[in-house]
Amino acid sequence: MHWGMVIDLNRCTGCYACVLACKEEHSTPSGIFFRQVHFQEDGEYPSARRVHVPVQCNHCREPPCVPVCPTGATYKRSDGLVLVDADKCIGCAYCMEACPYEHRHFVEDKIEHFEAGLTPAEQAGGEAGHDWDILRGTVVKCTFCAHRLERAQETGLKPGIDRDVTPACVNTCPALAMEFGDLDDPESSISRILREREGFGLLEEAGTRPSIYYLQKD
Amino acid sequence: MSNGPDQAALIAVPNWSGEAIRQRKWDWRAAANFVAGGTGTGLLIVSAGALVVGPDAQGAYVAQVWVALGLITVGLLCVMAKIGRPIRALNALRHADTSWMTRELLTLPVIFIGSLRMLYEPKPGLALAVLALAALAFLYCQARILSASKGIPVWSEPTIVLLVVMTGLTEGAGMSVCLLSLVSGSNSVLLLVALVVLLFVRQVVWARYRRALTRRHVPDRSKEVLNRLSGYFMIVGQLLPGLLAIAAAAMGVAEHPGRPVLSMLAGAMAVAGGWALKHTLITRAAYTHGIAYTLRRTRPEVL
Repeated sequence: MHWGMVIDLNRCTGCYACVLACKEEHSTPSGIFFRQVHFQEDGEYPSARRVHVPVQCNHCREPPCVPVCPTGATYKRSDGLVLVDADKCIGCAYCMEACPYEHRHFVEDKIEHFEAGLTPAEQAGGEAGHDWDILRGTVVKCTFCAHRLERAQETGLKPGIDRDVTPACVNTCPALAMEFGDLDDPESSISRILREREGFGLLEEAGTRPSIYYLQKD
Repeated sequence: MSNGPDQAALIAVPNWSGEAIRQRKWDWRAAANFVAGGTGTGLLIVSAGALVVGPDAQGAYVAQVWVALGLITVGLLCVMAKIGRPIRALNALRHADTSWMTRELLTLPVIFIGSLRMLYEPKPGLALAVLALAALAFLYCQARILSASKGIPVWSEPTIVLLVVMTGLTEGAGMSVCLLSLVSGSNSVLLLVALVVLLFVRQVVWARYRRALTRRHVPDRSKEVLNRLSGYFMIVGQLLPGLLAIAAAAMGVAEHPGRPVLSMLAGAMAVAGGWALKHTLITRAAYTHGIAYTLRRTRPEVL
């Protein structure tokens, strides 16, 4: 099993709903977004167009952040997820320098969004239940909503099909621009899409073999 | 169509929000570890070589070991000031199988214990060889730490390994020349010749590194920063110290009284050049890839 994602750039409208859904799910501290939307403007008036590219941790098959970590805090699971053991992390930020996608984030002292302190939602750490107070001084990243995937093992639900066990960003997309599933299963919807349409990974020349594929905008 | 300033400004506006940005997480404190640690270990290696060549110069050797240990300690303290959870710092010893940072740390006990042993009994032998090798290993690990950082193109260029090792050795020789001029008022012609040779090799390696950068995708901003550095580095950090060291060596043959001053200047400039080079590489020139140029079609390997 190897979890992965396909993002159809034809469908993405750049609405930032996935960015906000992720923010809500993980209640990330001020300044930290596990998912961002980049954009590119092509052509000239009257045929100019704008391409939106959601970017997050690519949960690479050859993640450069894993071997460099001096503590072993960053590790790769057998299901393809690249995660951080916060109890081991010393916050040296070496993994941040190793990630070509700029998608590892250092938790600074200031985690709250408002001067008045943490809101109840921030204290709860979102649906994912992060304790951001403890995570200060460490490096964090997208987990592919691992807490939801773990629920799938308990309930027998299928990630990518059943909303309860599918990453929040995929669930929320109003344009259905994303598919989540098992890249090792030839019958999964994500594998079928990649068979039918060419996909590409970001910065493939870095040799990271990303688990997120993009479908080219026509 | 007008090509005035407004139009130029319009063209300069980036049309891609994922452009290369300068990394800011490794700041001057991280650079200080590469600067001080590199010079310190370079000094240990050069002074070990000098002790083998001239076993009588034990007093000067001891002074150099103290300075080297001080520099390495300063570098370590700077790293401790940078990391998010310094209390857990020993966790960094847990991943020696793949992490060059862990491997760098593992050389430190050998360096510190070996240095103390040499302070007690400074003479050529197995202990001195082990100490010099551990110092070289530390330098090499530092270089590999940078080359393993795939997020920063100017670091992940493989030729940076030789550049960081060579500049560490050159800084060590420069520091040795400086210290000997200060402590004993003189230094051997051989050491000055060694400094000149190391400066020459550092120049060759620097040119090779710059050429290698032109053959791969490196953000323009990184190139601009390195271009700005290159002129100063080659004149102040390479050419002038080389000429001063040659002049000092020539005076050494005639035992001229102005020789210590020239030697000290040559050494100081060689060290300053290396420090400026590493500080620039680690902080000012360290831009990320940006991802605009990667929007192209390729076949996924999963199929």
